[in-house]
Amino acid sequence: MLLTLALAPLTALVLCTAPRQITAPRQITAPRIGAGAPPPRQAPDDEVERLFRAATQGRAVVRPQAARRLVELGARGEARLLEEAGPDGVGLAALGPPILEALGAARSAELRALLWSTLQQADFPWRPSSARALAERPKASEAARFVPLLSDALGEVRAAAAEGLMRSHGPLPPLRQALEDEDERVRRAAAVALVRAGDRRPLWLLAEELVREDRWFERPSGQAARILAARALERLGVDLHDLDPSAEPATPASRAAHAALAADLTAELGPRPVLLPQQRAGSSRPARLGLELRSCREGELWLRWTAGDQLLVGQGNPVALDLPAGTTARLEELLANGLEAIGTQRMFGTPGCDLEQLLLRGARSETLLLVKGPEPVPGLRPEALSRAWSALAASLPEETGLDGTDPRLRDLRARALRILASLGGPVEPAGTEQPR
Amino acid sequence: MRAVLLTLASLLAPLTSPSEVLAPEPTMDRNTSPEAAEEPIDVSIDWLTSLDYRRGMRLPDEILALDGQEVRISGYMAIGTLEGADVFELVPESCECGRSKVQHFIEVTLSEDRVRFMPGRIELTGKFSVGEVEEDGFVVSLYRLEVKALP
Repeated sequence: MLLTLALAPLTALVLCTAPRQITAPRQITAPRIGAGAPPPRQAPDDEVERLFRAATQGRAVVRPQAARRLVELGARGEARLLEEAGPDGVGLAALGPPILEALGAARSAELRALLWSTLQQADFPWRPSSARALAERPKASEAARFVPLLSDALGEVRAAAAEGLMRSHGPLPPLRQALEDEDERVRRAAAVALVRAGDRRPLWLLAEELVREDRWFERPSGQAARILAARALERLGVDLHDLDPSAEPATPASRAAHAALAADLTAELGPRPVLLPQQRAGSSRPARLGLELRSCREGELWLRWTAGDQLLVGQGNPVALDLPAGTTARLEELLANGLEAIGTQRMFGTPGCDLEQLLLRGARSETLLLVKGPEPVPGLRPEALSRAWSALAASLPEETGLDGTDPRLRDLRARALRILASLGGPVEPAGTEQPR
Repeated sequence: MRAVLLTLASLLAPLTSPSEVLAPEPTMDRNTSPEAAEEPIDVSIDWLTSLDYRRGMRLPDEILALDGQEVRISGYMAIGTLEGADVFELVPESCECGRSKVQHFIEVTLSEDRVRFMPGRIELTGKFSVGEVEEDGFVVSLYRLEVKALP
């Protein structure tokens, strides 16, 4: 197994949120934003520099803490960050997610303006961090700026926008619309935001999450969702009647707790509303192969192909689309051949914010990872896999007839191709026929 | 979450009556069956890592109750794990985008093995410890697991 992190610190292992290569602090001589002339360079502030180094070059686990303390220093720390960001904010990308997220507590109007500007840049690699920072302590005057972010390509940005909209006392209708989002993180954030804003009906959505039983292959995604929903409901002061969200929903104790909670909600809010497919709890749906696609610029997509030739789109309660008979078996064969051709290596690239993961759980069990940062990496996906990936893409319907009703199917193939292109590289859809 | 608390509390108090345990978890046997005394406690990594943590806070009792216990936990090696080391971070998902804080991982130490990167979900059993460990004024781990070897 080849890993390309030989130079990385031993313990700096969680990498998705932090670029591995942090450029050395730049010497900025351009005027600061809002300043008429370059400020005189002051003597180095040891504490500021120590925290700055720890926030940008320290262990992954240390960076968020150092970044927060740097910002908490107030004007001293903020001046250092402004200097590093540069007048146009270009330097913000090199500072990395921990510092960006800590900027949510900054008092500097210039830093806040720079954060907003990063959200307007489609190529800025850490837009979720910028959005979370801005949503932490938003001003009422910023409420309207969060509304368009609820339609962002990135679920993490949309979820942060929901929180920002609530905290800035923005309009509620966009939040209600966000309850229909395809991404469970966005729906959960919108539900919590609405409840905190006084509309308690979305408690039903959080309660529905408590009965999820779905899995993403080996990962108990339903259990994770139950735990997050339970924590959210507890923070909202809802009595869970001793529910253990780790336990399966079908246990007698879980059932009793769900029933008691449902009775409470019915008494307070009226009958349980009809939920949309993406809002409903899902069950376990075994699949033979899957693609987990996470692009820090184009968004995310979860696709599975079942033994019964169905395409499952999304997590939780996925959309199931019928595929031509034999599709999954042919894809499996192509993938098996491709994996055999590349030998034993199963991870390619250098960890960053992008992930393309193939899971094969049929006749053979294989996991293949392509990982990278925001920059394109030509040739990341091995050529030997091209044919299989083309067939995977071709199996995605161009038109489902449901595009208008289920957000998970909107422009499915086009979206998948965009995300794939931003990850392992462009994919040209082509059929699954075997060569003669 | 109280059910979890009570279940764990029952594990730690051998004289506790099984009737006080709310859920019929397998771990109940630990109070009554000597053969099952070594059965580890199953713990969800999602439950641990979704904690709202702030430095210096008192951790919930149900998490503190796991300190020093033999636990069984499943998760993923953090992408970027360095092969050949004796320590790695166990995380809830194969990609941990947006989750790099100290409560978001379990620091796993291998006592009789070296790390080889495994891209799939792995199940580990070992001695769990809870609490802030600091280096240079920063908290560098909250959850730790000592295991002999990788599966």
